[in-house]
Amino acid sequence: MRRVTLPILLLVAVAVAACGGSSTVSAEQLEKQRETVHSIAAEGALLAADVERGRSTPPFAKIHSGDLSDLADRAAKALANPAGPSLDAERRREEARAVAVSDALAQLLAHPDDPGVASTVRRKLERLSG
Amino acid sequence: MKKIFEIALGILAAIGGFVDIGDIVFNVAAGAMFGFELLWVVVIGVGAIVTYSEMCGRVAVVSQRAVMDAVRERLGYRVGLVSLVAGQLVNLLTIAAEIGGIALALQLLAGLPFRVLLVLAVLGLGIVIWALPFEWIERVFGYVGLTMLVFAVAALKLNPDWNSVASGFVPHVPSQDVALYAFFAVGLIGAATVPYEVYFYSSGAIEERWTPKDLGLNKANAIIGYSLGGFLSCALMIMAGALFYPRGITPESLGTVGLGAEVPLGQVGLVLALIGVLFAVGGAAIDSAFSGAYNVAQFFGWEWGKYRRPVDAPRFTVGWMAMLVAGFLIVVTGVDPIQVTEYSVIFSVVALPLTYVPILLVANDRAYMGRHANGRIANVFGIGYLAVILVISVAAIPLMIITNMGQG
Repeated sequence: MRRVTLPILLLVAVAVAACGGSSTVSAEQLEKQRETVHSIAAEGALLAADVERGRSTPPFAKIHSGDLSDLADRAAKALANPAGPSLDAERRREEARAVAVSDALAQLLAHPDDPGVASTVRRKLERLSG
Repeated sequence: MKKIFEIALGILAAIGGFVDIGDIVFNVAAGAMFGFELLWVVVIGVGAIVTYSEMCGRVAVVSQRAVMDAVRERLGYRVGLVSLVAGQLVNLLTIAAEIGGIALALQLLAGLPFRVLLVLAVLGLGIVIWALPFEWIERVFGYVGLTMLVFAVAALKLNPDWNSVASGFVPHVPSQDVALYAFFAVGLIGAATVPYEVYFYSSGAIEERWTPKDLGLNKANAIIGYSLGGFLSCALMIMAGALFYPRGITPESLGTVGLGAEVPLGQVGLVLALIGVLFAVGGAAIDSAFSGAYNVAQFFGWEWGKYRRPVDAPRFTVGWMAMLVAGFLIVVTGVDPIQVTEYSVIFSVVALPLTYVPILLVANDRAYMGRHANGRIANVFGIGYLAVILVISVAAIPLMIITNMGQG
Protein backbone atom coordinates (compact mmCIF):
# COMPACT_ATOMS: atom_id res chain seq x y z
CA MET A 1 0.00 0.00 0.00
CA ARG A 2 2.76 2.39 1.06
CA ARG A 3 4.73 1.61 -2.12
CA VAL A 4 1.74 2.66 -4.22
CA THR A 5 0.79 5.77 -2.25
CA LEU A 6 4.18 7.48 -2.30
CA PRO A 7 4.55 7.65 -6.09
CA ILE A 8 0.96 8.87 -6.36
CA LEU A 9 1.60 11.63 -3.83
CA LEU A 10 4.78 12.60 -5.70
CA LEU A 11 2.89 12.69 -8.98
CA VAL A 12 0.16 14.88 -7.45
CA ALA A 13 2.83 17.23 -6.03
CA VAL A 14 4.53 17.51 -9.44
CA ALA A 15 1.16 18.07 -11.15
CA VAL A 16 0.21 20.82 -8.68
CA ALA A 17 3.57 22.50 -9.18
CA ALA A 18 3.25 22.22 -12.96
CA CYS A 19 -0.25 23.71 -12.88
CA GLY A 20 1.08 26.88 -11.27
CA GLY A 21 0.95 25.91 -7.66
CA SER A 22 3.25 28.85 -6.94
CA SER A 23 0.87 31.79 -7.44
CA THR A 24 2.81 34.64 -5.86
CA VAL A 25 5.30 36.85 -7.67
CA SER A 26 8.81 36.66 -6.24
CA ALA A 27 11.34 39.51 -6.32
CA GLU A 28 13.27 37.64 -9.01
CA GLN A 29 10.16 37.13 -11.16
CA LEU A 30 9.21 40.78 -10.70
CA GLU A 31 12.64 41.90 -11.90
CA LYS A 32 12.45 39.53 -14.85
CA GLN A 33 9.03 40.82 -15.90
CA ARG A 34 10.17 44.42 -15.42
CA GLU A 35 13.01 43.79 -17.88
CA THR A 36 10.62 42.08 -20.31
CA VAL A 37 8.16 44.99 -20.27
CA HIS A 38 11.00 47.47 -20.72
CA SER A 39 12.31 45.43 -23.68
CA ILE A 40 8.88 45.28 -25.35
CA ALA A 41 8.28 49.01 -24.86
CA ALA A 42 11.73 49.93 -26.22
CA GLU A 43 11.29 47.68 -29.26
CA GLY A 44 7.76 48.97 -29.84
CA ALA A 45 9.09 52.54 -29.74
CA LEU A 46 11.64 51.71 -32.48
CA LEU A 47 8.90 50.17 -34.62
CA ALA A 48 6.52 53.10 -34.06
CA ALA A 49 9.31 55.54 -34.98
CA ASP A 50 9.79 53.73 -38.29
CA VAL A 51 6.04 53.76 -39.03
CA GLU A 52 5.94 57.46 -38.19
CA ARG A 53 8.71 58.19 -40.73
CA GLY A 54 7.26 55.90 -43.40
CA ARG A 55 10.19 53.48 -43.10
CA SER A 56 8.17 50.35 -42.36
CA THR A 57 5.62 48.31 -44.31
CA PRO A 58 2.01 47.93 -43.09
CA PRO A 59 2.09 44.08 -42.92
CA PHE A 60 5.32 44.12 -40.90
CA ALA A 61 4.12 46.87 -38.55
CA LYS A 62 0.80 45.08 -38.06
CA ILE A 63 2.20 41.61 -37.37
CA HIS A 64 5.13 42.73 -35.25
CA SER A 65 3.12 45.18 -33.13
CA GLY A 66 0.56 42.38 -32.63
CA ASP A 67 3.30 39.98 -31.48
CA LEU A 68 4.74 42.58 -29.10
CA SER A 69 1.29 43.42 -27.75
CA ASP A 70 0.66 39.72 -27.03
CA LEU A 71 3.99 39.50 -25.20
CA ALA A 72 3.08 42.53 -23.06
CA ASP A 73 -0.30 40.91 -22.32
CA ARG A 74 1.49 37.76 -21.19
CA ALA A 75 3.73 39.81 -18.91
CA ALA A 76 0.68 41.61 -17.47
CA LYS A 77 -0.95 38.25 -16.73
CA ALA A 78 2.19 36.99 -15.01
CA LEU A 79 2.22 40.18 -12.93
CA ALA A 80 -1.45 39.84 -11.98
CA ASN A 81 -0.68 37.33 -9.23
CA PRO A 82 -0.17 38.87 -5.77
CA ALA A 83 3.30 39.47 -4.37
CA GLY A 84 4.56 39.76 -0.80
CA PRO A 85 3.64 42.98 1.08
CA SER A 86 6.98 44.63 0.40
CA LEU A 87 6.70 44.00 -3.34
CA ASP A 88 3.01 44.42 -4.04
CA ALA A 89 3.05 48.16 -4.78
CA GLU A 90 5.86 47.69 -7.29
CA ARG A 91 4.10 44.67 -8.79
CA ARG A 92 0.93 46.72 -9.36
CA ARG A 93 2.96 49.50 -11.00
CA GLU A 94 4.64 47.00 -13.33
CA GLU A 95 1.34 45.33 -14.15
CA ALA A 96 -0.18 48.71 -15.05
CA ARG A 97 2.89 49.47 -17.19
CA ALA A 98 2.57 46.16 -19.03
CA VAL A 99 -1.11 46.83 -19.73
CA ALA A 100 -0.30 50.35 -20.99
CA VAL A 101 2.43 48.98 -23.29
CA SER A 102 0.05 46.34 -24.65
CA ASP A 103 -2.68 48.97 -25.26
CA ALA A 104 -0.27 51.31 -27.06
CA LEU A 105 0.92 48.49 -29.32
CA ALA A 106 -2.69 47.47 -29.98
CA GLN A 107 -3.24 51.00 -31.36
CA LEU A 108 -0.35 50.49 -33.77
CA LEU A 109 -1.77 47.08 -34.69
CA ALA A 110 -5.08 48.74 -35.61
CA HIS A 111 -3.41 51.58 -37.59
CA PRO A 112 -0.15 50.14 -38.97
CA ASP A 113 0.15 52.80 -41.71
CA ASP A 114 -0.94 55.94 -39.86
CA PRO A 115 2.04 58.21 -39.02
CA GLY A 116 -0.07 60.29 -36.62
CA VAL A 117 -1.07 57.29 -34.50
CA ALA A 118 2.49 55.98 -34.70
CA SER A 119 3.82 59.29 -33.38
CA THR A 120 1.50 59.12 -30.36
CA VAL A 121 2.38 55.46 -29.76
CA ARG A 122 6.10 56.17 -30.02
CA ARG A 123 5.96 58.94 -27.41
CA LYS A 124 3.91 56.74 -25.10
CA LEU A 125 6.27 53.77 -25.45
CA GLU A 126 9.39 55.91 -25.02
CA ARG A 127 7.94 57.14 -21.74
CA LEU A 128 6.97 53.62 -20.65
CA SER A 129 10.39 52.21 -21.50
CA GLY A 130 12.16 54.84 -19.43
CA MET B 1 31.01 32.38 -63.97
CA LYS B 2 31.34 28.56 -64.11
CA LYS B 3 33.53 28.67 -60.97
CA ILE B 4 30.89 30.73 -59.16
CA PHE B 5 28.20 28.16 -60.01
CA GLU B 6 30.54 25.35 -58.93
CA ILE B 7 30.69 26.60 -55.37
CA ALA B 8 26.88 26.68 -55.25
CA LEU B 9 26.77 23.61 -53.00
CA GLY B 10 28.90 25.43 -50.44
CA ILE B 11 26.77 28.57 -50.76
CA LEU B 12 23.54 26.60 -50.26
CA ALA B 13 25.06 24.68 -47.39
CA ALA B 14 26.12 28.01 -45.89
CA ILE B 15 22.93 29.95 -46.53
CA GLY B 16 20.49 27.09 -46.05
CA GLY B 17 22.53 25.16 -43.51
CA PHE B 18 24.74 27.42 -41.50
CA VAL B 19 22.44 30.43 -41.56
CA ASP B 20 19.17 28.70 -40.74
CA ILE B 21 16.45 29.70 -38.31
CA GLY B 22 18.49 28.38 -35.36
CA ASP B 23 21.53 30.40 -36.32
CA ILE B 24 19.47 33.55 -36.90
CA VAL B 25 17.67 33.23 -33.54
CA PHE B 26 20.80 32.42 -31.51
CA ASN B 27 23.03 35.07 -33.11
CA VAL B 28 20.54 37.90 -32.74
CA ALA B 29 19.67 36.87 -29.16
CA ALA B 30 23.37 36.56 -28.26
CA GLY B 31 24.11 40.03 -29.69
CA ALA B 32 21.12 41.56 -27.88
CA MET B 33 22.10 40.01 -24.53
CA PHE B 34 25.90 40.15 -24.63
CA GLY B 35 26.76 42.74 -27.29
CA PHE B 36 29.81 41.61 -29.27
CA GLU B 37 31.22 39.36 -26.54
CA LEU B 38 30.32 36.05 -28.22
CA LEU B 39 31.75 36.76 -31.68
CA TRP B 40 34.71 34.43 -30.98
CA VAL B 41 32.31 31.51 -30.56
CA VAL B 42 31.09 31.99 -34.15
CA VAL B 43 34.67 31.53 -35.34
CA ILE B 44 34.90 28.21 -33.44
CA GLY B 45 31.60 27.06 -34.96
CA VAL B 46 32.78 27.96 -38.48
CA GLY B 47 36.07 26.14 -37.94
CA ALA B 48 34.27 23.01 -36.76
CA ILE B 49 31.81 22.87 -39.65
CA VAL B 50 34.50 23.66 -42.27
CA THR B 51 36.72 20.87 -40.88
CA TYR B 52 34.01 18.23 -40.78
CA SER B 53 32.29 19.22 -44.05
CA GLU B 54 35.60 19.00 -45.88
CA MET B 55 36.17 15.60 -44.26
CA CYS B 56 32.78 14.13 -45.13
CA GLY B 57 32.91 15.66 -48.63
CA ARG B 58 36.29 13.95 -49.09
CA VAL B 59 34.89 10.63 -47.83
CA ALA B 60 32.00 10.97 -50.30
CA VAL B 61 34.29 11.82 -53.21
CA VAL B 62 36.78 9.01 -52.55
CA SER B 63 34.34 6.25 -51.65
CA GLN B 64 31.29 7.49 -53.59
CA ARG B 65 29.39 6.94 -50.35
CA ALA B 66 27.72 9.65 -48.27
CA VAL B 67 28.13 9.89 -44.47
CA MET B 68 25.35 7.56 -43.37
CA ASP B 69 26.23 5.03 -46.04
CA ALA B 70 29.89 4.99 -44.95
CA VAL B 71 29.04 4.87 -41.24
CA ARG B 72 26.70 1.91 -41.78
CA GLU B 73 29.27 0.06 -43.85
CA ARG B 74 32.43 0.75 -41.82
CA LEU B 75 31.09 0.95 -38.26
CA GLY B 76 28.33 -1.63 -38.40
CA TYR B 77 24.59 -1.84 -38.00
CA ARG B 78 24.32 -0.92 -34.30
CA VAL B 79 26.48 2.23 -34.37
CA GLY B 80 24.81 3.19 -37.63
CA LEU B 81 21.35 2.71 -36.17
CA VAL B 82 22.09 4.88 -33.12
CA SER B 83 23.51 7.56 -35.41
CA LEU B 84 20.48 7.27 -37.71
CA VAL B 85 17.87 7.55 -34.94
CA ALA B 86 19.62 10.50 -33.25
CA GLY B 87 20.10 12.26 -36.58
CA GLN B 88 16.49 11.72 -37.63
CA LEU B 89 15.05 13.04 -34.36
CA VAL B 90 17.09 16.21 -34.68
CA ASN B 91 16.20 16.48 -38.39
CA LEU B 92 12.52 16.29 -37.49
CA LEU B 93 12.72 19.08 -34.93
CA THR B 94 14.85 21.12 -37.32
CA ILE B 95 12.46 20.83 -40.25
CA ALA B 96 9.53 21.77 -38.02
CA ALA B 97 11.43 24.87 -36.91
CA GLU B 98 12.37 25.78 -40.50
CA ILE B 99 8.81 25.38 -41.81
CA GLY B 100 7.58 27.56 -38.93
CA GLY B 101 10.31 30.07 -39.80
CA ILE B 102 9.20 30.21 -43.46
CA ALA B 103 5.61 30.90 -42.39
CA LEU B 104 6.76 33.61 -39.94
CA ALA B 105 8.88 35.33 -42.61
CA LEU B 106 6.00 35.17 -45.11
CA GLN B 107 3.63 36.55 -42.48
CA LEU B 108 5.92 39.52 -41.83
CA LEU B 109 6.10 40.14 -45.60
CA ALA B 110 2.42 39.63 -46.48
CA GLY B 111 0.44 39.92 -43.22
CA LEU B 112 -1.62 36.78 -43.90
CA PRO B 113 -2.73 34.28 -41.20
CA PHE B 114 0.07 32.06 -39.90
CA ARG B 115 -1.66 28.69 -40.43
CA VAL B 116 -2.57 29.52 -44.04
CA LEU B 117 1.07 30.38 -44.65
CA LEU B 118 2.19 27.14 -43.01
CA VAL B 119 0.16 25.19 -45.57
CA LEU B 120 1.49 27.36 -48.41
CA ALA B 121 5.05 26.89 -47.13
CA VAL B 122 4.83 23.10 -47.17
CA LEU B 123 3.09 22.99 -50.55
CA GLY B 124 5.63 25.44 -51.99
CA LEU B 125 8.57 23.41 -50.68
CA GLY B 126 7.06 20.20 -52.04
CA ILE B 127 6.56 21.71 -55.50
CA VAL B 128 10.06 23.22 -55.58
CA ILE B 129 11.73 19.95 -54.55
CA TRP B 130 9.64 17.95 -57.00
CA ALA B 131 10.04 20.27 -59.97
CA LEU B 132 13.54 21.75 -59.75
CA PRO B 133 16.77 19.84 -60.42
CA PHE B 134 19.23 19.68 -57.49
CA GLU B 135 21.57 22.26 -59.08
CA TRP B 136 18.77 24.79 -59.46
CA ILE B 137 17.55 24.29 -55.89
CA GLU B 138 21.11 25.09 -54.78
CA ARG B 139 21.36 28.13 -56.99
CA VAL B 140 17.94 29.65 -56.29
CA PHE B 141 18.01 29.27 -52.51
CA GLY B 142 21.75 29.86 -52.13
CA TYR B 143 22.00 32.96 -54.24
CA VAL B 144 18.66 34.61 -53.36
CA GLY B 145 19.47 33.88 -49.71
CA LEU B 146 22.53 36.07 -50.21
CA THR B 147 20.20 39.06 -49.82
CA MET B 148 20.83 38.40 -46.13
CA LEU B 149 24.02 40.35 -46.75
CA VAL B 150 21.76 43.33 -46.07
CA PHE B 151 22.43 42.60 -42.38
CA ALA B 152 26.12 43.33 -42.97
CA VAL B 153 25.13 46.70 -44.49
CA ALA B 154 22.79 47.29 -41.53
CA ALA B 155 25.60 46.50 -39.08
CA LEU B 156 27.90 48.99 -40.86
CA LYS B 157 25.20 51.65 -40.96
CA LEU B 158 24.63 51.30 -37.21
CA ASN B 159 28.25 52.36 -36.75
CA PRO B 160 29.18 50.04 -33.86
CA ASP B 161 32.21 50.60 -31.65
CA TRP B 162 34.74 48.69 -33.78
CA ASN B 163 37.20 48.34 -30.89
CA SER B 164 34.53 46.46 -28.92
CA VAL B 165 33.73 44.39 -32.02
CA ALA B 166 37.41 43.46 -32.42
CA SER B 167 37.75 42.50 -28.75
CA GLY B 168 34.67 40.27 -29.15
CA PHE B 169 36.78 37.96 -31.32
CA VAL B 170 39.16 37.31 -28.40
CA PRO B 171 37.98 34.33 -26.30
CA HIS B 172 37.05 35.33 -22.76
CA VAL B 173 34.61 34.55 -19.94
CA PRO B 174 32.43 37.33 -18.54
CA SER B 175 32.44 38.27 -14.86
CA GLN B 176 28.66 37.82 -14.50
CA ASP B 177 25.87 35.73 -16.04
CA VAL B 178 28.42 32.99 -16.74
CA ALA B 179 25.80 30.24 -17.11
CA LEU B 180 23.72 32.29 -19.57
CA TYR B 181 26.85 33.20 -21.52
CA ALA B 182 27.82 29.51 -21.64
CA PHE B 183 24.31 28.56 -22.77
CA PHE B 184 24.53 30.95 -25.70
CA ALA B 185 28.06 29.77 -26.53
CA VAL B 186 26.77 26.18 -26.66
CA GLY B 187 23.75 27.26 -28.74
CA LEU B 188 25.91 29.18 -31.22
CA ILE B 189 28.27 26.24 -31.79
CA GLY B 190 25.28 23.88 -31.98
CA ALA B 191 23.50 26.11 -34.51
CA ALA B 192 26.67 26.20 -36.63
CA THR B 193 27.22 22.45 -36.60
CA VAL B 194 23.70 20.93 -36.81
CA PRO B 195 24.09 17.36 -38.11
CA TYR B 196 21.88 17.77 -41.19
CA GLU B 197 24.48 20.11 -42.69
CA VAL B 198 27.08 17.33 -43.05
CA TYR B 199 24.54 14.71 -44.16
CA PHE B 200 23.31 17.10 -46.83
CA TYR B 201 26.78 18.24 -47.84
CA SER B 202 28.19 14.74 -48.33
CA SER B 203 25.09 13.52 -50.18
CA GLY B 204 25.21 16.68 -52.30
CA ALA B 205 28.74 15.73 -53.37
CA ILE B 206 27.34 12.44 -54.72
CA GLU B 207 24.37 14.24 -56.30
CA GLU B 208 26.82 16.52 -58.12
CA ARG B 209 28.89 13.47 -59.18
CA TRP B 210 32.14 14.81 -57.72
CA THR B 211 35.20 12.65 -58.39
CA PRO B 212 38.68 12.73 -56.77
CA LYS B 213 39.48 15.47 -59.29
CA ASP B 214 36.99 17.65 -57.37
CA LEU B 215 38.76 17.41 -54.00
CA GLY B 216 39.95 21.00 -54.45
CA LEU B 217 36.40 22.07 -55.20
CA ASN B 218 35.28 20.27 -52.05
CA LYS B 219 37.77 22.22 -49.98
CA ALA B 220 36.81 25.51 -51.65
CA ASN B 221 33.10 24.83 -51.09
CA ALA B 222 33.61 24.04 -47.41
CA ILE B 223 35.90 26.99 -46.71
CA ILE B 224 34.22 29.67 -48.83
CA GLY B 225 30.63 28.55 -48.19
CA TYR B 226 30.82 28.22 -44.42
CA SER B 227 33.05 31.27 -43.99
CA LEU B 228 30.35 33.22 -45.78
CA GLY B 229 27.82 31.75 -43.37
CA GLY B 230 30.06 32.75 -40.47
CA PHE B 231 30.35 36.27 -41.88
CA LEU B 232 26.54 36.55 -41.97
CA SER B 233 26.30 35.21 -38.41
CA CYS B 234 28.78 37.83 -37.23
CA ALA B 235 26.82 40.53 -39.10
CA LEU B 236 23.61 39.46 -37.33
CA MET B 237 25.34 39.54 -33.93
CA ILE B 238 27.00 42.91 -34.57
CA MET B 239 23.69 44.38 -35.76
CA ALA B 240 21.94 43.13 -32.60
CA GLY B 241 24.83 44.23 -30.39
CA ALA B 242 24.75 47.75 -31.83
CA LEU B 243 20.98 48.21 -31.96
CA PHE B 244 19.30 46.08 -29.29
CA TYR B 245 21.94 45.59 -26.59
CA PRO B 246 22.27 49.29 -25.59
CA ARG B 247 18.47 49.62 -25.43
CA GLY B 248 17.91 46.51 -23.28
CA ILE B 249 15.84 44.81 -26.00
CA THR B 250 15.63 41.01 -25.79
CA PRO B 251 14.35 39.46 -29.03
CA GLU B 252 11.31 37.25 -28.63
CA SER B 253 10.17 36.89 -32.24
CA LEU B 254 11.44 36.83 -35.82
CA GLY B 255 10.06 40.35 -36.27
CA THR B 256 12.89 41.68 -34.11
CA VAL B 257 15.36 40.37 -36.71
CA GLY B 258 13.51 42.29 -39.45
CA LEU B 259 13.51 45.41 -37.29
CA GLY B 260 17.30 45.13 -37.14
CA ALA B 261 17.46 45.86 -40.88
CA GLU B 262 14.50 48.26 -40.97
CA VAL B 263 15.81 50.75 -38.37
CA PRO B 264 19.08 51.53 -40.21
CA LEU B 265 17.94 50.91 -43.81
CA GLY B 266 14.17 51.52 -43.97
CA GLN B 267 11.63 49.64 -46.09
CA VAL B 268 14.14 48.38 -48.66
CA GLY B 269 16.36 46.94 -45.93
CA LEU B 270 13.38 45.30 -44.25
CA VAL B 271 12.06 43.66 -47.42
CA LEU B 272 15.51 42.43 -48.49
CA ALA B 273 16.15 41.07 -44.99
CA LEU B 274 12.85 39.18 -44.90
CA ILE B 275 13.40 37.77 -48.41
CA GLY B 276 16.89 36.69 -47.35
CA VAL B 277 15.53 35.02 -44.20
CA LEU B 278 12.76 33.38 -46.26
CA PHE B 279 15.20 31.82 -48.74
CA ALA B 280 17.82 30.92 -46.11
CA VAL B 281 15.22 29.18 -43.97
CA GLY B 282 13.57 27.68 -47.08
CA GLY B 283 16.96 26.31 -48.15
CA ALA B 284 17.46 24.87 -44.66
CA ALA B 285 14.03 23.21 -44.78
CA ILE B 286 14.99 21.56 -48.09
CA ASP B 287 18.40 20.54 -46.69
CA SER B 288 16.83 18.92 -43.64
CA ALA B 289 14.05 17.21 -45.66
CA PHE B 290 16.67 15.78 -48.00
CA SER B 291 18.94 14.84 -45.07
CA GLY B 292 16.15 12.83 -43.49
CA ALA B 293 15.48 11.00 -46.75
CA TYR B 294 19.17 10.54 -47.54
CA ASN B 295 19.91 9.03 -44.12
CA VAL B 296 17.15 6.43 -44.18
CA ALA B 297 17.76 5.47 -47.81
CA GLN B 298 21.54 5.20 -47.33
CA PHE B 299 21.20 3.22 -44.11
CA PHE B 300 18.84 0.65 -45.64
CA GLY B 301 20.61 0.58 -48.98
CA TRP B 302 17.71 1.95 -51.03
CA GLU B 303 18.09 3.89 -54.27
CA TRP B 304 18.44 7.58 -53.45
CA GLY B 305 19.22 10.91 -55.04
CA LYS B 306 17.42 13.87 -56.52
CA TYR B 307 19.25 13.18 -59.78
CA ARG B 308 17.14 10.03 -60.10
CA ARG B 309 13.55 10.26 -61.29
CA PRO B 310 10.99 9.77 -58.44
CA VAL B 311 9.93 6.41 -59.94
CA ASP B 312 13.56 5.26 -59.87
CA ALA B 313 14.01 6.18 -56.18
CA PRO B 314 10.43 5.89 -54.82
CA ARG B 315 11.33 5.33 -51.15
CA PHE B 316 13.71 8.30 -51.17
CA THR B 317 10.93 10.45 -52.69
CA VAL B 318 8.44 9.28 -50.05
CA GLY B 319 11.14 9.98 -47.44
CA TRP B 320 11.51 13.71 -48.15
CA MET B 321 7.75 14.08 -48.50
CA ALA B 322 7.27 12.37 -45.12
CA MET B 323 9.82 14.74 -43.55
CA LEU B 324 7.91 17.76 -44.87
CA VAL B 325 4.57 16.41 -43.64
CA ALA B 326 5.99 15.45 -40.21
CA GLY B 327 7.56 18.89 -39.77
CA PHE B 328 4.27 20.52 -40.75
CA LEU B 329 2.30 18.36 -38.30
CA ILE B 330 4.60 19.35 -35.43
CA VAL B 331 4.40 23.07 -36.06
CA VAL B 332 0.68 23.19 -36.95
CA THR B 333 -0.16 22.06 -33.40
CA GLY B 334 0.44 25.66 -32.36
CA VAL B 335 3.87 25.31 -30.75
CA ASP B 336 5.98 28.44 -31.00
CA PRO B 337 8.41 27.94 -33.95
CA ILE B 338 11.07 29.99 -32.15
CA GLN B 339 10.87 27.66 -29.14
CA VAL B 340 11.01 24.61 -31.43
CA THR B 341 14.12 26.18 -32.95
CA GLU B 342 15.79 26.60 -29.57
CA TYR B 343 15.00 23.03 -28.54
CA SER B 344 16.12 21.65 -31.92
CA VAL B 345 19.49 23.39 -31.58
CA ILE B 346 20.07 22.23 -27.98
CA PHE B 347 19.03 18.63 -28.70
CA SER B 348 21.17 18.61 -31.84
CA VAL B 349 24.14 19.56 -29.63
CA VAL B 350 23.51 16.47 -27.49
CA ALA B 351 23.45 14.29 -30.62
CA LEU B 352 26.49 15.91 -32.28
CA PRO B 353 29.08 13.27 -31.25
CA LEU B 354 26.93 10.55 -32.84
CA THR B 355 27.42 12.27 -36.18
CA TYR B 356 30.93 13.65 -35.88
CA VAL B 357 32.77 10.75 -34.21
CA PRO B 358 31.89 8.30 -37.05
CA ILE B 359 32.96 10.86 -39.68
CA LEU B 360 36.36 11.24 -38.01
CA LEU B 361 36.77 7.45 -37.75
CA VAL B 362 35.86 6.81 -41.38
CA ALA B 363 38.04 9.69 -42.64
CA ASN B 364 40.98 8.10 -40.78
CA ASP B 365 40.36 4.61 -42.16
CA ARG B 366 43.26 4.06 -44.58
CA ALA B 367 41.76 0.83 -45.89
CA TYR B 368 38.78 2.86 -46.99
CA MET B 369 40.25 6.24 -47.86
CA GLY B 370 43.68 5.18 -49.15
CA ARG B 371 46.01 8.14 -49.66
CA HIS B 372 43.09 10.54 -49.10
CA ALA B 373 42.74 9.57 -45.41
CA ASN B 374 43.10 12.39 -42.87
CA GLY B 375 46.57 13.91 -42.67
CA ARG B 376 48.10 15.41 -39.55
CA ILE B 377 46.51 18.87 -39.98
CA ALA B 378 43.03 17.46 -40.59
CA ASN B 379 43.38 15.30 -37.47
CA VAL B 380 44.65 18.13 -35.27
CA PHE B 381 41.63 20.23 -36.23
CA GLY B 382 39.27 17.25 -36.25
CA ILE B 383 40.26 16.02 -32.78
CA GLY B 384 40.40 19.56 -31.37
CA TYR B 385 36.90 20.38 -32.57
CA LEU B 386 35.65 16.97 -31.49
CA ALA B 387 36.84 17.77 -27.95
CA VAL B 388 34.81 21.01 -28.09
CA ILE B 389 31.80 19.10 -29.42
CA LEU B 390 32.04 16.50 -26.63
CA VAL B 391 32.23 19.19 -23.94
CA ILE B 392 29.24 21.14 -25.24
CA SER B 393 27.19 17.98 -25.79
CA VAL B 394 27.61 17.14 -22.09
CA ALA B 395 26.96 20.72 -20.95
CA ALA B 396 23.93 21.47 -23.16
CA ILE B 397 21.08 19.99 -21.10
CA PRO B 398 22.34 21.15 -17.66
CA LEU B 399 22.80 24.67 -19.07
CA MET B 400 19.34 24.56 -20.63
CA ILE B 401 17.84 23.73 -17.21
CA ILE B 402 19.97 26.17 -15.18
CA THR B 403 19.22 29.11 -17.50
CA ASN B 404 15.59 28.22 -18.11
CA MET B 405 16.28 27.89 -21.85
CA GLY B 406 18.27 31.10 -21.96
CA GLN B 407 15.65 33.15 -20.14
CA GLY B 408 18.03 33.75 -17.24
